[in-house]
Amino acid sequence: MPADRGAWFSPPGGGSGTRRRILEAAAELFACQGFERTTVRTIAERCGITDPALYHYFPSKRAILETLWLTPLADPFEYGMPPPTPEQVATRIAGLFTSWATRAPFVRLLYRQALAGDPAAIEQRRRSVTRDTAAIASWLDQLYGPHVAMARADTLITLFTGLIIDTYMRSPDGAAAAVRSEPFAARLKALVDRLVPPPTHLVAVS
Amino acid sequence: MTTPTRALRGRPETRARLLDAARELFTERGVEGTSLRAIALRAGLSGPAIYYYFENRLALMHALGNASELDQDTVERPPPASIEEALRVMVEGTASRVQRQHILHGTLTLAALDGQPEAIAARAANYDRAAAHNRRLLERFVGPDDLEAAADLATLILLGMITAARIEHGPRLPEHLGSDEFRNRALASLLVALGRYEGAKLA
Repeated sequence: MPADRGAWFSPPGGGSGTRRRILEAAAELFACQGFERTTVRTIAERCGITDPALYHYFPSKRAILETLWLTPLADPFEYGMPPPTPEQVATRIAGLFTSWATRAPFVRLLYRQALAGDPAAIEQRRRSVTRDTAAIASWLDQLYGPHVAMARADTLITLFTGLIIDTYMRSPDGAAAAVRSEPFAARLKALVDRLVPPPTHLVAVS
Repeated sequence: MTTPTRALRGRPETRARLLDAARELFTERGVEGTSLRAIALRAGLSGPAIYYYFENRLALMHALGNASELDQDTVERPPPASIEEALRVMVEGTASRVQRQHILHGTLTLAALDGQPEAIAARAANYDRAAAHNRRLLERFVGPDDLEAAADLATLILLGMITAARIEHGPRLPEHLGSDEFRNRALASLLVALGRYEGAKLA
């Protein structure tokens, strides 16, 4: 995925230093061929340096991965204030999910590692889920009240987890194209719209 | 997304014996620790003979997935009387299916995320089958125009529940899937998405 290279995160320290090049190369390689199958040598080669030179920056391959999890994403999503109408709330939620989905190499790697039991990836996912659930609940609150808002936020996050896994599992190429396709956008919008109805459409169920 | 269709080769009894042996060995030793040769020997075949039936381990796992799904479908039960019951049956069916083969399911998931074509085909086929099953469960309670979207929604929510449960519970996934906590949460999510919204055209 050369087009995506480095597009989804911004290593601290900026510039075009070797450390940044290592992180970018590792991110791309881990996402394309998996963490286990990527060697330190391949990462070093991709950066045009030797293995010992790479070890000057990172003690291990795992240290590179853990640095990646903690690296801020490029173009972070603007959570913002709650939008006033259900349509606008649905658009905001779809926007949040799209911003995750289009970071396909990063999110796919995160899920791949979390499913394989990698504690750093599990923790990272937990943090994102907690933050996103709280944000979505705060947008839904003014429409439905806190109780319904929390339940719906939780369901929306679960739905998105299913959607992203289904999409990644169907894409041999890392899903970079799939998540930018029209069918994906349409499926996402239809699903989210359904879960953010006008408040008057909610049926009271005891 | 289509599954590669290959005519089933060889004697059905032998095929079934191989699948039984694979199930036993995967459970005893895990997928990684089980070779095709070991499965053949357990089933009373010579090692290489298994390749006549399955060209590799993923092909065999794919067949295992299909076989267990068939077991599931042959269970006759009365149609659900309410949408809540339909959703309950859905949760129950999904949880117990993954529970029965959680190792296989996990291996296929990781292999699909790694881009292995056999695993991608197997997981896509699993999803499509689950969605079709869920469509049948929902058809009496959801309008025909809405049925496909409703089944997709339910299937994705269950996939999301299973994925999150696997991430959070790892090797203890089967116990968690059997717990009331999992089942109640899954049912609550499905009710939020499908059961409490008049836009869903409930019957």
